[in-house]
Amino acid sequence: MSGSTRNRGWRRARVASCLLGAAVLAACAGNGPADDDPASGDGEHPGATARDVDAGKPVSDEPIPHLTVGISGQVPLVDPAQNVMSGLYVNMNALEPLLQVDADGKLEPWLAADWEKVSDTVYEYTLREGVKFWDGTELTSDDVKYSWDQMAPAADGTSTMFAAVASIEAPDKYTVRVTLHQPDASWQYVPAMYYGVIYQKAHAEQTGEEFGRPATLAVGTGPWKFDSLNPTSGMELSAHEDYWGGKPPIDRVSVKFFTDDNSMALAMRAGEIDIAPGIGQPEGFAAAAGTASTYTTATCATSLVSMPTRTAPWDDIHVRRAVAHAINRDDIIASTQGRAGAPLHTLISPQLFESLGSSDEVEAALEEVETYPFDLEAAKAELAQSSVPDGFSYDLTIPGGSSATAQVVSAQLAEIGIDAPVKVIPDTAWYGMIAERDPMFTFTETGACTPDPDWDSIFLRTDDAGEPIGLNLAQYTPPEVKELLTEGLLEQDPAERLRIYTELSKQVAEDVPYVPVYAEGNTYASADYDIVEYDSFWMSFPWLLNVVPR
Amino acid sequence: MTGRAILLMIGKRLVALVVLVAILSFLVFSLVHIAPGTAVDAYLGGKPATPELVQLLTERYHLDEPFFTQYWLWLKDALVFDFGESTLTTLPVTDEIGIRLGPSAFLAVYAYVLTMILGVVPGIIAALRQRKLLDRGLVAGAVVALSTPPFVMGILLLYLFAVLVPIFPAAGRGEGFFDQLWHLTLPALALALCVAAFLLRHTRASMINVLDQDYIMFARARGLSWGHVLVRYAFRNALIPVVTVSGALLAFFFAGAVFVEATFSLGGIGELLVQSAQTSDMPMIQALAILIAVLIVLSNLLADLAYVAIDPRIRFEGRSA
Repeated sequence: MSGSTRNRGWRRARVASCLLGAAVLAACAGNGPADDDPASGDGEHPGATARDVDAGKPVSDEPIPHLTVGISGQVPLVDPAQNVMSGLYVNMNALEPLLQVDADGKLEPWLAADWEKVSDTVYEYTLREGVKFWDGTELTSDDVKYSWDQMAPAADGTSTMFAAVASIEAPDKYTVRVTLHQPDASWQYVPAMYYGVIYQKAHAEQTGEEFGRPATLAVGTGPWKFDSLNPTSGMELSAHEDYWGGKPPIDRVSVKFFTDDNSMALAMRAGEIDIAPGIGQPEGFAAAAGTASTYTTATCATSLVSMPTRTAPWDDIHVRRAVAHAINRDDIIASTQGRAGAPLHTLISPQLFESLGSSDEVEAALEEVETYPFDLEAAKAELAQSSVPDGFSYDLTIPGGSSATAQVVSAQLAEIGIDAPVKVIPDTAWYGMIAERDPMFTFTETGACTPDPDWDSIFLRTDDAGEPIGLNLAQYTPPEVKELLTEGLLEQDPAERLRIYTELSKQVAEDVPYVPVYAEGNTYASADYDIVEYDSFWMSFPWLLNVVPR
Repeated sequence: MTGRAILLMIGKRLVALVVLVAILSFLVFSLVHIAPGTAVDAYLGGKPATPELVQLLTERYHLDEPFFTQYWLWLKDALVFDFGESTLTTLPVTDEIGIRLGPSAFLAVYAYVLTMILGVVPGIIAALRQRKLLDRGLVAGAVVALSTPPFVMGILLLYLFAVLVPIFPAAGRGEGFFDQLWHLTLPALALALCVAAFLLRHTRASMINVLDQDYIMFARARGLSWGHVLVRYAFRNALIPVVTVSGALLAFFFAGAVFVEATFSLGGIGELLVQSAQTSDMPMIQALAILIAVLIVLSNLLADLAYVAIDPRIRFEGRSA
């Protein structure tokens, strides 16, 4: 009895001290992901276990009358064609994809019962029969065609995810045929991603401009249906009685939007929310949220230090290698408040190689890729060989948000004589510098990744003239890299692709335009529930089906 | 001031408002063209510039027309509250502002009322109990509240009254009058306390000043009751400087509550303003700038009308002249 009181008092003291400010958070945050396993003693954390039930089925049948979910940010609308990031954590529970990516990175059926690659450019999907929309009508290939047509860059949509698609046809009620402009191995995952979700054509056509907006929403096939959306406060969903996988066990779901993680943690502590996926600062959250604990998965998204390879002194490879050796990943990860998933040594996450071969094959391939372990002597030796043996000064320009981490990077570089003061600029100014091609020494996180190794091409892309575009922060433009990227998509054989992306990784490691620092983490927090199979693609799945009571 | 004079004053202010908004609308519209990059970039808001999208935006915002034609077309839409679509969320700007307007106005008025009650009443009490223990206590409390910024106060209140003693909700804004009142009590208090402390000291000083005046002594000497003297003579005179200060408060509470809005996840106008500035959401910035200008002018007009009601000198100015 006295023990529990003392415990509570301690927790209170801990929260009170956290209220003093972010600086104290690091000191008082106790619950790391590793030492906080509710199922300790009996094997793996639920978050790390795979779903072991059929498509459409919930992992746990235990009825939950009402679940309250807290998410950071707001959902302005649910139409993926208008705004793909809106509803990132919510939509998939109501609007479903054709396929899903399982725990091993393999594609599995979902709304499509079967699919086939007819040729290098033609894919055919056979829909599950008898799948009902919330209004009782049946899902047909027309709905799929319509939903995906809206994603084409030519439509009002703004997405580039469907740029590879030449045409989408619906030859019969249950068949969807996708033809690509040219072979593109990364297409196979698009029907399993959050931007490939399906909604009802009739409703979308009837509502026109208003489709997806708060008053209109969308009609889907998912286990939960949208009841209402207020873009500033939250969303209500309820169970879909005629769901093709059977009525889901959670009757009602309330989603609440939070602007600030700290207030979300306090709301969880006060019992106003049951579970919060995708939280930003796990350690601070766990410290403020009382009895809740967190689980963090290391995703395939890459957080990296980027050097402008076309600008002096960064155009000197010895300078870049010196930086790569001077980076101490463990210290940087410690500064992220639990946001980092795991140390990362290659630009393309090893997770993304999984689909290209057996684990032995992948391991053997990755062995060939050079890495730069933390080694101050090696760093100093590299710098001594460079054009600036006595060090130099260059701003580390970053958008707000990762400044604590950037300070650590800056301090580590000071050790070898590189003076890199941190300059924090607004996000828009940072994106503006990228768009203007201003050379920038920077540190960045990227967010959601896709299962194909081509995902990391966002850091390497060039236009037809060979000039850097998109997030090619390092302005790294060797023609061989461009060739390998093109080849990697055209090639369909996994073993060949493994070779290509290994080549690519070797070249990038050789030239070090980027220093990969850590695999970004994704974290949920809850006192009473767990999310099974909480991996890189948890939000590309009706994840509420994976919620299990503790 | 006669009824006609008051109407004339209101009329003049409204004309000034129209002129101000006209000038502001021009400046705000020019933003799109002044911002770095082309007007298309401004409307793209960071999205990839596919030829289709550029074409779409050029048509939607008439970007191939001359500047003044563009302005005229924009103004015509703006007059019927059509400011285009947010580049961030793609929802119509008017919808986005609309759903936030209610709670923000509720919060602003609630905080304003609390500020007045918590500032003026203790201020008068402190003045009447000058240099007594109660006065010292109130002034000391005011110093603490004055030096606590609203976002710190917000987290403190949140922790005390939503977590330790859970009598108020930790987040959200509620539906319907009483639910909103319940949800917005902590945010309104967080906003109000700091300003109320300022107002308390202001009221106290002003009240002490008035109580020292000869006419108060004369009124008492004539045998008027203390209560009558306080309410009719002292209080009304002391209130004039307080009203001056409070004029800008309503607009400030409305648009300047961003920290408190974030702390309690209210989703209000202040947050929208900061978010649109961060993401260069041009149509949103344009609409909000105009909205806030209108609010500031209107709340100052309200303060002036309150003057007229309180201060007979202003009211009778027109007749004696």
